[in-house]
Amino acid sequence: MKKITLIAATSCLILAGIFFTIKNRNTSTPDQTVSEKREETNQKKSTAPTQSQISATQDSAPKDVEQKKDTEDTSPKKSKRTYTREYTKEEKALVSTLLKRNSHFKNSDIEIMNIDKKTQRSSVVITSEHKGAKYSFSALIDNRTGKVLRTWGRTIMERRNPLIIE
Amino acid sequence: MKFNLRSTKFIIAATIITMMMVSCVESPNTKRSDSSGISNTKSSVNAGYGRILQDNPIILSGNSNLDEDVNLAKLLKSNQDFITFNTQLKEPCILITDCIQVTEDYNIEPFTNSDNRWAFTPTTTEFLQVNTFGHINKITDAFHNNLLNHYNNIATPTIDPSLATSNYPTSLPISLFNSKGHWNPMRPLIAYADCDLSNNASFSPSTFELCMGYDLVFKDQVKFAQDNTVIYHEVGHGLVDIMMNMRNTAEYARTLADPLLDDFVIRSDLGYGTYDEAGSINEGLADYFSYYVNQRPHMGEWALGRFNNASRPLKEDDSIHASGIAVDENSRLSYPTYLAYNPNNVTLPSEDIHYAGQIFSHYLVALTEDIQSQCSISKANAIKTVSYVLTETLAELGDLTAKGNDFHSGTAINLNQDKSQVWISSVNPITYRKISQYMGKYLLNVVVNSTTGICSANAVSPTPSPLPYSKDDVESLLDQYGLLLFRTYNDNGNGKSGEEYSFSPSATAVDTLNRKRTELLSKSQLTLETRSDFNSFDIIDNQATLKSIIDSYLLQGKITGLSELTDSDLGFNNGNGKASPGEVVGIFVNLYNNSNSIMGGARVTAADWSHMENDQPCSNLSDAFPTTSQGGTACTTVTDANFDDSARYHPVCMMEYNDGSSTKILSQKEFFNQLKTDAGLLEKDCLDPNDTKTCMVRALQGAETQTVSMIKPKANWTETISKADGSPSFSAGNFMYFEINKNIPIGTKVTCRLRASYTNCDDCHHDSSNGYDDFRDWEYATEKPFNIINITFQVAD
Repeated sequence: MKKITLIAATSCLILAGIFFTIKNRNTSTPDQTVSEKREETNQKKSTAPTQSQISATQDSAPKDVEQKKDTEDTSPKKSKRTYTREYTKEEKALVSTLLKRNSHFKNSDIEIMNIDKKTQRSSVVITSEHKGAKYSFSALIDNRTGKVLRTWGRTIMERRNPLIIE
Repeated sequence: MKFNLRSTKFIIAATIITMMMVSCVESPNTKRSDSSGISNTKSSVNAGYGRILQDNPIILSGNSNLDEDVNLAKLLKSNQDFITFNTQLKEPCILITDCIQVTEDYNIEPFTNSDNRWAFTPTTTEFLQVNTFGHINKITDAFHNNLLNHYNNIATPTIDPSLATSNYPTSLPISLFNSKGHWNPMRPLIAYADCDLSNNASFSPSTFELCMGYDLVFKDQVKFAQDNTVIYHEVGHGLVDIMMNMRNTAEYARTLADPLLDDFVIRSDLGYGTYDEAGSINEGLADYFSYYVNQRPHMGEWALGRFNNASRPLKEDDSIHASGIAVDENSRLSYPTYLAYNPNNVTLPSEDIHYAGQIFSHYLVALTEDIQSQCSISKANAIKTVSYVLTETLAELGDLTAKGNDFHSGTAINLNQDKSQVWISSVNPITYRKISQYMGKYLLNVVVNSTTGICSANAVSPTPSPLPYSKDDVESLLDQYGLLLFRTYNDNGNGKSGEEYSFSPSATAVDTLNRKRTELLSKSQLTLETRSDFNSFDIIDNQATLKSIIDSYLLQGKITGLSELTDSDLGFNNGNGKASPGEVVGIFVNLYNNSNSIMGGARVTAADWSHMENDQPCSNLSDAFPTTSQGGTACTTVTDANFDDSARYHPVCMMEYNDGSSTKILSQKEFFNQLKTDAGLLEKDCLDPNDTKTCMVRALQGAETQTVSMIKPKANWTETISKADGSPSFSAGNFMYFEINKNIPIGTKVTCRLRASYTNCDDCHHDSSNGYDDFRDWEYATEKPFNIINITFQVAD
């Protein structure tokens, strides 16, 4: 009898432990399926997808799960994003050619995406500030002349203030 | 082992007691709330969790007049939301390690939160970031889950569509996921949740960034990131960009992997100007993405609606709508009647892509409900179904490789790789007609088609007749919205003869009996204004105005640049309302609607076209100008083989030249040759020294098309879109822009052979000599789909 009681008590404690864990894990929103699925998906990184199909878990990078340390300061830390990457010599030359032909970009950020020596055409992303807002677009440019040949991917503003012409 | 009654009772009792104990343990998520709202502190949540606003403050409070100082903590629910186990607001997604990031603003790194507990006081910037992150993850998860199901179970992209095992010809590329075409292949989506941008929010495709700004008046209290529907809308623009570029991204990956191929770097946009139908469709789609997540047919009630009177409904039964708009089939928000309808101010027409886009968002919501009802499926599944159709549609329409399908060897969309970008933006752009036609095609392929099994009611055996969700249903709903603007589904593609999709060699016809409300008008009804009270066209050349426009267009990337001959300060612009040497001018062509119905999406384009032969203007086009005695030549037939021959395919503007004995109309190339002989003009004196065809006058690339939303019957645009005082409501986007060479002789007469078209036009799109199939893409290089509009001006001092 004692043995049965012991087993029963142990079972209850284990059950209690399980209930407690579940309760603390699955307590979130009434509409929790999406975030929970994501949470679970990110924890099931090892699931092997079939060859012919793409799986939500396929090759996703493991999520960084960092444990809290008691001694850590948990207040949010803010830092400036810094763009320290220097242009290579080749990129510097391209930017110089671009700015020589398009001086209106002198205050813009120019990010080189691709330098194609074969076609002598390169793609860049240009970000400028205009009337208090940032605008960016992609451009295909001629390596030799710096001429902008095509543009695409312009910023979409939710509210536009078109220049009114009387 | 035996269980007796006593031990059984003990076990039951112990279990009950234990469960009661467990239920009494306060887990961190159950925090008390009082009159000050939820105490949203770190100690109140588990690691990885936080709290976000489940909707915008107006909806959560139920108060449409909610004060800007509202305590948002009162609107939080006590339960926790999973945020991330990372210590920064960063998240991977399928096959992409660095998928989503949220930070405070530009140039600020995502903050580090070492205990990854994400509950913050709602007045803090950290809360805004968590709120933004939570909602971005929500919509991204839904999008990717739907896309996976679409790719794996519905579209059969790896199967040749001509085989019986294919469900239908899909536009999804085989390498969709491996090429990272399901996201941006180059960078994470970065959202700036507390962005320094007043009264606005934005999405930037090139940097893949969202900026959620603040209200101008209540800067510290009212933030766009507090409204989840605006977050969904902005991410929606990102998803549109992804879908439009699925095939382009796949091609980019293919060319990148092969050193022998030129890198395919260009990408598609949906929207090109201040006002155009593609841009308004993009806005309608972005609004639908709010509904896509929350199934609620209204967006932007907080920062947009409450403080800027600019929220938008997505369904006709919304109380914000004007009377007369209703969900019955005769009272829909239909095209083109409601293109300039602003539900926040119904008395004045408003030419704005967001308001015009309501037609599309309302159609998409009605389509969702139609599918839900006819197919007997849940609303959530109906929304997924619409997303499959949208993905297919945008992936094909945005295809700059011009193939449209991995198994197609020819071209079928957007002409060819070389000219696809100008075709999609200027020559044959995405309009309400085109999007409706391709939506229709994929509704037939994906939903009506019972082999996909999506429409449960259709996918029963034996196949019901008539189908519960049928081609008639597709056409009927489009017609209710005035969108049954096409005669065939164009399922054979737009390629040249012999390059039709092999799996759909002929086009499926629309049942004309289903076209009850949609009107198709004749292109001849669109003319140049000739009434004496109006100008046929207007020129603006004020230096300050043009400088402001051009600076803005250059920095925003709308135009590629000015000639090196043109003064960057536009110092030659004299503001006399005429074109003078060295100026940049804006030209507004005043089109007249001679029909008895509203015209939608009237466009004039100054893009190059096949209107010459041997560098001489054709005399035998419908404008009969110039005649052979005026220098024209009887051109031979334009074909798919010669349409872009250099001596045929010319810029629009021609020059009048007097050789002393007669006056001729010359191409600019010939004009240059004459001036070279007469006055020693050199190539370097041309606007582009490498192209004498644009020597004297050229449209600025990117600003070569003028689009207006609508023109009332027997009226022009200036009478249609006017201000309260009746004066026309001109903005920079209403004009096309041209450079005038500073070396052009004063007094030279310039005739620009422009071409006009509009969306609800019959013979602008349908070839009556080919079973009313669409014109082929190359035919858009000719006059067939257009009315020729000649404007002539004399270069003044």
